[in-house]
Amino acid sequence: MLGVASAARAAGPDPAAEAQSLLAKLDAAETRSLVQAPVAKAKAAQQRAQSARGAGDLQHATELDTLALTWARVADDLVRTLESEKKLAEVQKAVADLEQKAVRTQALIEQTIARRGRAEQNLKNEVPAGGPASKSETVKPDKAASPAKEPGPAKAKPSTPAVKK
Amino acid sequence: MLLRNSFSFAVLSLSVAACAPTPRPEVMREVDAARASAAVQAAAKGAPQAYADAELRRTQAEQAFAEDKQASAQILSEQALAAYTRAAVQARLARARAALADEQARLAKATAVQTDLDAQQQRFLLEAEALETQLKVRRDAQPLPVNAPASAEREQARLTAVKALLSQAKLLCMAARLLEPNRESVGPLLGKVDDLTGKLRAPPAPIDDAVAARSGCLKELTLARRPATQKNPAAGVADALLSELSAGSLLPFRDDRGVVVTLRALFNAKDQLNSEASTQLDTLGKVAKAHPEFPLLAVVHVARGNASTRDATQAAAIADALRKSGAPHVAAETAGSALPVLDPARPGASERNARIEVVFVSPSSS
Repeated sequence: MLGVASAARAAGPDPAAEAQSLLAKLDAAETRSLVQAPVAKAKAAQQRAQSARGAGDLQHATELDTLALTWARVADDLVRTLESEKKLAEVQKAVADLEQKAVRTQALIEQTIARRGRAEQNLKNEVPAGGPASKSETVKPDKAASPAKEPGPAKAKPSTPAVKK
Repeated sequence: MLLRNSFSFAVLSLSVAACAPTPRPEVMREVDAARASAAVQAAAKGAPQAYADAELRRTQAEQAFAEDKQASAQILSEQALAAYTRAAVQARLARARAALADEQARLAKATAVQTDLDAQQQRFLLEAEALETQLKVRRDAQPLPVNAPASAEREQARLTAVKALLSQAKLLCMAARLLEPNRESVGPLLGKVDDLTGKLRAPPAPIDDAVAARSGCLKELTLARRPATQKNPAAGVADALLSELSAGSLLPFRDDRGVVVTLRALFNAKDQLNSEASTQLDTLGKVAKAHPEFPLLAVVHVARGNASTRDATQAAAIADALRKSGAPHVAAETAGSALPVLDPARPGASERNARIEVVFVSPSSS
């Protein structure tokens, strides 16, 4: 009797109603196939409880109601577990995608730094504006035709990469 | 005697049977096996409350069995079995939730890192582009090299280049004039182009002047486009027209002048537009009518030699056909063989080089 009482306490005031409510909730198209086995066990226990109740065996009927409720709760927990695992897989994929993107961006940054370095070097090597023209296959133009010397470009302050590993 | 012995055996058998323990229900063995499984053992730590509930039910089942309550022992064992299953599921749920929390933290961190990397990339790109612009400005500010007289071979090559440059200059200036008919500076440039064309008979070839003339005409075209470009810098009108013409399988391309459609073999033996040519020109004329902001420039190129009066007649016929189809502004020009597509020495070059270009002069640089 003690066992029955404590199991009934754990199940709440009306395990049969609670089990029925949970099973109704789980009888949705998106969850039906996922929780087939525990729901079938819960329903079987419900039927056995009904038979016991019909035979006047109230004690065992209550125990079977609790059994039905336990299986219904297993099914409910299973749905929540699968939802969490699905969400986990999605977040894991998002993280993996983002980490891959970070690697690509890092590579792009390296390329851009190299491009900036080349531009900087070319700018240093370039004859300043208004300087002499290429001597290959050329003769000097009239001095009067030479454009006035323009001020050099402002020095760029290069950024330094702050890479987070 | 025999009867007495049989009776004694029956009594003995019954007393043995009465003392034999009741066999444990199968489900109780299943409960023991489930309890010993790795999943349930892990659940003892991962879902202690659910595990404790299952343990309680198992104890109750054992107690019911000890009290010889077979039916209750059976049902309570089944409850224990379900409760162990639930404990295992709850432990799995707890693991998934913990992993999810970890992954969400990783995602937040990765997002922050990516944002930072994007900002860095943008900054470096802007710096690189700024330096490249500075470099371009410096290079553009360099005076053009002055070409000294060279060997006869080189002079011949320069002559070919000058012809091409002057032809390009003329077409660019004509494009500028189509966009802005009253543009004053175009006239002197066209006059200069004509002067230089007249100097091509004897070396040295005026290559520097030809380069300057082309640059001048391109500048005029750019300036003629400037108001439209400034009015709507992101319009992309030429791109839109290019897409429209491409959809019509006219194989257009873009150059400094605008969007160009190349046509070939438009005239029959009597120098009249053939039916296919009329259809093609009609299509282009209708496109020009739908885009009146794009004036048309029809250019006749030949395989060999300079432009002839026959070329000029053909150019005029093409311009007329385009006008009849609705093109509001059309100019025609002949370029001779100054702008070949292929090296004229290559086999099959004549067929490719003899062509008509219908240029939709772009009204904007955007």
